[in-house]
Amino acid sequence: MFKLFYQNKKINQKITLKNNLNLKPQTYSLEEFTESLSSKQLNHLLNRVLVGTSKRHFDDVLGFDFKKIIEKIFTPESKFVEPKYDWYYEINKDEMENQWGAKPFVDPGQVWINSVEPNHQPYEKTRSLNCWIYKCILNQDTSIHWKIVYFLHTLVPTNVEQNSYGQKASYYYWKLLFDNAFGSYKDLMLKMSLEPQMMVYLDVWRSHKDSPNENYARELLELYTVGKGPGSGFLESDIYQIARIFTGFRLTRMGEGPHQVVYEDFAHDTGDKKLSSFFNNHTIKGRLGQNYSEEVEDLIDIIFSIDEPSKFLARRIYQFFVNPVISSEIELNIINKLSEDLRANNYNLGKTIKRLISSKHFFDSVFFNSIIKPPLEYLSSIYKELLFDNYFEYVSDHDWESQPNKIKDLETRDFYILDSFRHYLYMTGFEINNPPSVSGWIPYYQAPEFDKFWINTYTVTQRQQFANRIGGKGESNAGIHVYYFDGSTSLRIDYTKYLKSFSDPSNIDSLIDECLKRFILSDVDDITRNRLKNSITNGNSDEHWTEYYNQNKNNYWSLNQRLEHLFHQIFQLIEINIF
Amino acid sequence: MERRKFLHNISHLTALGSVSSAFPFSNSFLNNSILSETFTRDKILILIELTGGNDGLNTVIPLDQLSNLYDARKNIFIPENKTLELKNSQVALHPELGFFRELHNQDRLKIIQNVGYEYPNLSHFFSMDYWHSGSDGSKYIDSGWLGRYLELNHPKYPDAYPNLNFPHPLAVEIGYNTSLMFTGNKSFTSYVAPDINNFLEKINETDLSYQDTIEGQKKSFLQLISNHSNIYGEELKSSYEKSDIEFEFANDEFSKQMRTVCKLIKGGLNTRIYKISLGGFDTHTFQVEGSDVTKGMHAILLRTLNNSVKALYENLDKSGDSERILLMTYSEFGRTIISNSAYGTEHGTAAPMFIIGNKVNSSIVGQNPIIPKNSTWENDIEREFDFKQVYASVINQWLGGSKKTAEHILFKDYDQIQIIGKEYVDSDNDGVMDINDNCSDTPEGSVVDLNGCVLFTLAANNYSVKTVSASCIGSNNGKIEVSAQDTSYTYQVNISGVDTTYSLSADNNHSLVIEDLEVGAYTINFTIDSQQGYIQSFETSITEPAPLQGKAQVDYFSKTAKLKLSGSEVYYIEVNGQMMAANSNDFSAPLKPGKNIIKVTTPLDCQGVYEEVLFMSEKLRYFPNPVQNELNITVPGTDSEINIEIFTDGGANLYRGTHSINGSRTIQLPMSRYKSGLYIVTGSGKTVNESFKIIKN
Repeated sequence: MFKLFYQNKKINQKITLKNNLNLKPQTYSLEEFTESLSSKQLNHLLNRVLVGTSKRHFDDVLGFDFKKIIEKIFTPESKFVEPKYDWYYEINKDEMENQWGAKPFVDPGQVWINSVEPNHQPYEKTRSLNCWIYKCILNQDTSIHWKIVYFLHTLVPTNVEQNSYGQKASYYYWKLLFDNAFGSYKDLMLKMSLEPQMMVYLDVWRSHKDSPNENYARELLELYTVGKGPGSGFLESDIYQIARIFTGFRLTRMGEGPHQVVYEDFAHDTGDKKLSSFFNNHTIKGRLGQNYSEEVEDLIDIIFSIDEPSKFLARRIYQFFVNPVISSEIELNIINKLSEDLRANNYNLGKTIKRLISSKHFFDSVFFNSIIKPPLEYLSSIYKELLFDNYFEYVSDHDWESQPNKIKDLETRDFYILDSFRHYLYMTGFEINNPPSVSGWIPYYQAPEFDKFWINTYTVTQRQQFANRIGGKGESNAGIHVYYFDGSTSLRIDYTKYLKSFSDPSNIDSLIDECLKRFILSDVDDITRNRLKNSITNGNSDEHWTEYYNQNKNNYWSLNQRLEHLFHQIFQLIEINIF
Repeated sequence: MERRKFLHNISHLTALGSVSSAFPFSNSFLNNSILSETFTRDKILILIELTGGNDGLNTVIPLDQLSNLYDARKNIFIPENKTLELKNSQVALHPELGFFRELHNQDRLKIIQNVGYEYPNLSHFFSMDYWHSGSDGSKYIDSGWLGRYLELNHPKYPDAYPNLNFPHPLAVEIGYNTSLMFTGNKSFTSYVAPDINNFLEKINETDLSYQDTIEGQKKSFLQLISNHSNIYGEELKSSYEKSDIEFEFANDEFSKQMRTVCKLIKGGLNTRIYKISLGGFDTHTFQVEGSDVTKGMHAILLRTLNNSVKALYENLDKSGDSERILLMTYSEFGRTIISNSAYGTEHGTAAPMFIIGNKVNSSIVGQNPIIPKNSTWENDIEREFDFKQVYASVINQWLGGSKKTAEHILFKDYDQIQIIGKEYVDSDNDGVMDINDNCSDTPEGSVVDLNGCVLFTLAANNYSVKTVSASCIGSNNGKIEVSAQDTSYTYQVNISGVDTTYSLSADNNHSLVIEDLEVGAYTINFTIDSQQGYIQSFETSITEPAPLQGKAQVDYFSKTAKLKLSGSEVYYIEVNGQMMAANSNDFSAPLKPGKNIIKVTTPLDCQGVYEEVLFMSEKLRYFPNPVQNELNITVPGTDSEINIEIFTDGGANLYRGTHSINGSRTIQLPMSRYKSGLYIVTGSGKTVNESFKIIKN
């Protein structure tokens, strides 16, 4: 005997048509939004422009009017912290220099971006680099800066080279994205075409005029500039011609400082490169000597002189920030206008994204909670709120003393704790700096289902497991797992301390409201609300909770268990998965 | 949260001899909402991924090339006398593949030599992606060949799943994260579990309907997949626990995966595609042991493979399930002809595939690979077959799908290889072998007669039969609601015990309610005038309701009575004359001081009444204790008088009196006349009923 879950959906044509109205936006206006923001609109805005939100972000814009909020969001990051040598508990300096051949390597705690690279890749260095990226994201200002960087990473994805010399190149790729996030996408494409990381990732660094490697040429057109949509019309011959440009570029990868591009002109195809009518039959003059990077400049100019790249970019921006499905009305009204903007302002990302984000269309309620949170946004919100910013407050004292120094020392702790972030991200289906293919991550481009691809029977279980761990339920050692070479530890959240940041935790309704406000954007129905309430009151009265809380608000041993019941329920809500 | 209760339908096949293609139901009886078991004998494909790039030349050894082979790879060459020669062939197997040789002797093994693809890529990730997606290697394809196949055959997946016809996962992968092979264009088509313990990771179950907004659609989808995870997990657990293993497997990870698959198949899970993987084949170094070429990494892996396939067949031969299975091994590429100085090999191109099954056309297909004299790193095994040919053959000859289907899924028409014995092939998967099938290309899912031609039928889920309300014994107010989805027919509806013949037609929107029914079991038959001989039957029953029952527990702290009720979905609760309605079995009734009368009824009169009388006493306060002269008793509340009695320890009643209560609400009780000792004082009144002990000094 087994039970069934049977959905008897009658497909009624009339009802479907009527309901379509709920699926379309009311406005296609890119005019500036002029009202004052309701809390729903503010939620929507911050969740779309940040990588995960938390109370501190809302506090940052408290009392601001709309214009001021937009100004703040579009202010570049106030800081940029370079990655440091923080894995020295795992591999010390002598080992880096002797076993891995990175001589001289920097001292523990120092910035390594210009040091000699190890000649094989210790996994710890890659891990440290990825944790650094996560740390930048979790530490972000209330600014769209890192979100644009993340957007660009999904648009121009790459990984850390599996062979030697990988991490430095990867770092400079990220620096490139960071420095250009508010600038011109066209300029970025020029720089990216000559960036060592991409040269290695897509084989330009060994492409020779005798048999030009087409990898970069193809992805440049298919993935980064023109795309494969209906407006795309480049030919295979264009790819071949462009591949001829990218010959003779080599890299220096030893020694200190960033990798350098070296011009081995004898390997460069110096002939003229003729493009097809899609590119208006332009010819790129072959350059002699060492100047052939000028061919790349010409190429970028030509690519961005036609219309389709601006549309392609406008669509990708729209899909990332507003909604992945682009109807013909949206294409006509929004994409066209945005692409005109891009062509007029030299493909300026900051200005164009700002126009989209500040528009009436962006705040159409049809888009609220319309996207399934990618693993990064899903985990960032929770980590930002509970762990990262306020980490030391939210770990119970009795746990903390017994932790090994490596995860207590300020210099090294993030290498370990952020690796747990990386671990749960991986389990829920995402690894930064490691796309499944050159095209990036399927949910960002695979029509028509897009973001639904984040969810399958495995990843949805993993989100549940994470909710168990952070909520304190699950196995007897529930808590975030933090692994290190000779062991592991679990860190549990001290919700009794966390609750002190709430306005009125002794009032049960206020407590539930504030929990929901901090983690959930969409409305929650009464049945669910009651269930949440009951999880902590066990059916007793509101006054009972008040009395109990007031008596036990500092009593971790008694109170935390009850709070874990509540938070466990919150993190399991379906609503926490959308934004 | 309640699961929805459904009425489950069984279909009675027509009187004509018929074969229901692919989804036969066994006839069994209903019992309220207990589902009859569905069991299918469908064909199963088990994919065995050998991850890393298997060295084909040391697996299937070309006996006519040994001299050049020895020259090319002296340090890993396996001498002929150690290999397992396959009779009537020019090949031998690696010494560890003893059971594979047995399978060959039993005509259950097929070898396809030199399989590769058009634009070979020697990167593990790229190449495996190409094998998974069915790409020719010139571009990346975002979906898997089996994902596309399953989506083509199940266009309503995942939304309308699981359902009566397909209650189990469409595919099961043992591993972490769903592979590209099962990624469809719409969603993931497989259920993934790393190991058996993970079948039951329960997710907070919800069964809510969401609005038809984009937000609602996303929430519905999340809920759907969460429920899939739970339900499919339960199905797997159920099948897993039903079966036992007679012939044990080894203890390594791969054998455990094979064992899990074995248990699931034996346990009746009707999933048709399984995937397991064995890793470690990337033998750049020490593919063999320096001192003994029959040992080393490759040998260990092949032994693991061999022994787990052996155990699988021992178990399934015994249970009779080996008829249903087909195994296929594949790897992302082969390895180089020549070996390196570290007793290993580099990435190569073509390699052999094994296909195993009772119905296999057992033969060795393809020529032995030519090993050039004085081979160098430049030499590679020449590709003879494309793996997409194998996929096309598997689809058309085993899984079920026409040649057109295969072409659609693989983007090109590939020449097939005869994988399944001609006598077993059922290309249109209608249950009638090609050699007996008069109508080839029967549409998928059709019910056919013994000649393989379509029989009129409608899916059981065309109909909806629901009991709307239960009746009380003696009263006839039960109802049954019937409807049909396919509105192009007019149906006649007959109910056992009811004389009238009803109909479902455009006149009543194909929906109708039959009322005034007594408690009892009913059979409902649907027929269509224009389709002689067609009949669809359902069995259902109208039950009497469970009795109304209740229990009350007083919580003095919150001054409520916690009621636990059962027997209905809706309750009318009267507390001290005030009426409330509730739709949950738990209810908290507020109590006033003094006597409280609680009465509970339901919409069905015959369920009776549940009544409680509860007394909520005000709490008396008394001091001093011990007492010498006067005992002060404070009576909260509003009573104007209180009756006091005093008893000795032994129960003798020493005093009885009524005291009026003034504004201070405290009465004084003289105690000086009593001798020292323990006394019991009781107070009673309209809202008081308490007693306490006091000590007199």
